[in-house]
Amino acid sequence: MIIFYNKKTGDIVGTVDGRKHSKDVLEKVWIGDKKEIGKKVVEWKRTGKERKREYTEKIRKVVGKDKSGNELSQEFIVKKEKTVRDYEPDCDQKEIMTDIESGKKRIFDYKIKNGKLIK
Amino acid sequence: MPDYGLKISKAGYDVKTATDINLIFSSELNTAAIALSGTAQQTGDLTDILTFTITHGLSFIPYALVYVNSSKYPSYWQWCPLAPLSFMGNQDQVYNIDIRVSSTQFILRVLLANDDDDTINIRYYLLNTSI
Repeated sequence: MIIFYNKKTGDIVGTVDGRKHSKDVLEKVWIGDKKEIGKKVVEWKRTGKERKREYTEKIRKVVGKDKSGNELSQEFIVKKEKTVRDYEPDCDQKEIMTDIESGKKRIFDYKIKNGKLIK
Repeated sequence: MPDYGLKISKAGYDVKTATDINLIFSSELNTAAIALSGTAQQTGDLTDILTFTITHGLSFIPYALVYVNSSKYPSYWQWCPLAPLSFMGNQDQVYNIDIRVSSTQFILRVLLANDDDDTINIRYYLLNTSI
């Protein structure tokens, strides 16, 4: 995420979504006037840990035949598990950034002071 | 030149033989991808014009999808058509919304109609497709 904020007040004026940004986006994208608006970039990095994640998958199974001998199938939902790599925000306010990305917290409830998110 | 591209099939279908309807994604289909998305917020009161300027640096004029939300009607997110007048939440409330897109910038202006503070949030999606 790239966060743009008013340099004087610290008020957040806008964001760009994403965990990783291209060089072009980092160099060219801006919200508002460059003289008044500062930016804070928070990218995500691998933690080096892995975790199991449950997911469901629809599968179709043959459950019998009809009078004409055609196979009858039925859809089942099965629970599966896969291993996924863990990522985290590459900053010292990991919890807040994670909550903002997941929608638990609103970015506009914060300000930026000395490079940190504060209420 | 050999075939190239990316396809993702639905669960249970072989991606190499699946028909288009059984694909979740195919780069052969001219699918509009999001080049840039995000949010912005400004506060003002009666007759203020709030100007949201996003310098996108895409070097082409992108399709833009925009939703706008007012603190007066926090549960509504209104899609912004390219019409000069838009209703938001309560139909008595008329906002004047103007959107312009160029090869360098996306600009959205909102003329407020409330007589006290109103916070306008926008959620923008700039697509990887030129208009």
